Amino acid sequence: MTDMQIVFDALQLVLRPEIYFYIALGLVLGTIVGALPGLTTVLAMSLLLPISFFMDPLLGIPFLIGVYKGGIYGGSIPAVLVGIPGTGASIPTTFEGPALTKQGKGRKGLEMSLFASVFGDISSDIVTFLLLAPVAAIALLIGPPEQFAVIIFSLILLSLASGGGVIKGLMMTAFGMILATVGQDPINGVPRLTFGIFEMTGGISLVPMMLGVFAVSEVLLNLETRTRSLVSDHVDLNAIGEKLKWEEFWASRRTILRSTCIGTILGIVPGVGQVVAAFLGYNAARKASKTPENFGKGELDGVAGAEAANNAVNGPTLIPLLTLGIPGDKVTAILLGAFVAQGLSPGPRMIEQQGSLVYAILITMVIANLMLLVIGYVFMRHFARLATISKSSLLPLILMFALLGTYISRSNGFDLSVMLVFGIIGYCLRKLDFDLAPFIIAFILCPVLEKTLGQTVVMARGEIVPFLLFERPIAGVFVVLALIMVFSRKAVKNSIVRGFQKLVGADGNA
Amino acid sequence: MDAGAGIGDAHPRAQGRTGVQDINTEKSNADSRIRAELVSASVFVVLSIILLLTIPFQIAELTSSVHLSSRYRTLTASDFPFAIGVALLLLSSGYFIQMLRGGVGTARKFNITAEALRKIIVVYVMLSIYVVLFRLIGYLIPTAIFLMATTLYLGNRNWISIIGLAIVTPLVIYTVLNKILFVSIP
Repeated sequence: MTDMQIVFDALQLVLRPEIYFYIALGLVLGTIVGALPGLTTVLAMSLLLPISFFMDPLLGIPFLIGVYKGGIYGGSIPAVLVGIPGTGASIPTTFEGPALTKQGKGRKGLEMSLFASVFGDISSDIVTFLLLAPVAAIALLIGPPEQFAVIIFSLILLSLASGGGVIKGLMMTAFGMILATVGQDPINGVPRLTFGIFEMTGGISLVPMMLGVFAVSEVLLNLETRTRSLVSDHVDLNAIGEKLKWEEFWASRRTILRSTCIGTILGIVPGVGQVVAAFLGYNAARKASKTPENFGKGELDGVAGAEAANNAVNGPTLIPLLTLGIPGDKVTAILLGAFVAQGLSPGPRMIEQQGSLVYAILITMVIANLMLLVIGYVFMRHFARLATISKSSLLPLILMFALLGTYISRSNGFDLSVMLVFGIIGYCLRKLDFDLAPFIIAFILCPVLEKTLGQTVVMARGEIVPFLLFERPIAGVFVVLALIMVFSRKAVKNSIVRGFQKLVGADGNA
Repeated sequence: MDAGAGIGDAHPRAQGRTGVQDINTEKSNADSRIRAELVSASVFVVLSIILLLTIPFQIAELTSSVHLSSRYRTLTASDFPFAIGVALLLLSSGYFIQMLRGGVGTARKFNITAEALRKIIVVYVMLSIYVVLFRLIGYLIPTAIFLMATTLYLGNRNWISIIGLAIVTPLVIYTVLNKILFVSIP
């Protein structure tokens, strides 16, 4: 089947009207959760993931993508209005948003955030569309040794990028892998570490674990604070000011383009994510500005820079997921869970075997952005009101949804116990500043890692090191790079960051 | 770090802290942080030792998988967990030593007041009871009881919103899931 035929078939697939309903629903739900400070996009996707299992892939996955995009945008609403980021990616927006609101320009900040987000996101989706087939073609050339090496490299990279430090990131990776070994060995089918519990024979299920570590722990963390709502400031919606003028948006065009490039490049790299992109985008905007002294005092360019960058990550972050089956962050880890539950196997063969479906999903991402533009603009004020909802109503609801989501994923009562246990584990880990991203991703990738390692050992006839270095050099390079990153991480990390800053002109020498 | 990072606790206002809530001084904050890091490292050390000791009893080896050829050994069911267990032991031991030798730790927010701890324990126990009742009775009644009890405990005294939350919400969700999405819940 030619590429054009695949794209044409994909366009036909997205003509179903139900798709638009589910995307809109996902956008609204995601924006609602994103607009609530303290609640995260990951939480929203974890809670809604089990519901997507009951939809067909072309409804369930765009629904989750809508939640994802809505969540990232929703995080900017409290960031602008009250200076509290709804998600980590909105932290730089808080440097400018509250000052804008105090000047009576809150609405301008919200609209700039929306328009910059949509522009960044759509542009990066188009790049993803164009890059997917070539990357997948390269991915087809790789075998188990290369797959093993790339996964190790990605896991190390994620550990390096994790909050809480490298050793803790590596500990979380190891911990996730150990939990993934519970159940049946992927090579021989031998039961492992079940401790005689029959329900553990199938291993620990991803959904209850995720809902425990994200949803239950989030509620427990929020219980520590004494505020009535998730924010303590009253948002005066009558004082958020006038709409953004076209000239004001046009004045930020270079910033938006620059930040889009930053986010698009960073999105392809596993482990980097929206937060880093948002900071780099904001920093680049400040360095390139003719009036950098205005930053921190209500500069629309700052909002544009941060939001365009953090949303431009959304599209390319799917490239390693769809071509190699490697999620780059917690959100794509959840999407991987959704793909697998739908009977799809992200990886090199997916484009070959289900190309129309994959491209249809990419097209729905662009559609989701266009719908976000409308929904975000029309319902902006209503989303803004969410910041004042009381915790005493919200937190019990989240726990109810966590329980429900856990149960409906497999209709298995044992999973509820798993959710409870991981709720406490997640709470303790987060209190101690352990990053959960390496933990979840290692858990998901471990079976593939072990299987490809087993295949590599057989191919290498037991002499794995010479085999990787001399007969499979691509795999050897990735493994060596991973080791270098671990043992000289500071030097490598600093040079990568310096190099990237130079590239985007964010080092003061632009 | 990504958008999934729990961020509500990154901002002082979101935590309700105004500088007067914490009862420890700065130095004791740092001390309790280091203690917490040492405890967590110890837990992981113990966990990895337990794992390494239980592997021989928890993983049966298939003799056919051990030697396909007399010249080389293939991967067995216990190899991978064993290797990860060793890695975790080394990492957690290294972290423990790093903290003992004067590391500052990254657990920024370990302090917790007695009131907050009590709230967490009570809500967690309520959730556990909800899980038990859900498995015994089903969704509707345990959910109504849980939502009402938890929202009252957390300070909601608006009876209209309590009834809306505890009675209307579960009914709506039950109807949507069962009748519209055809998702079966007990």
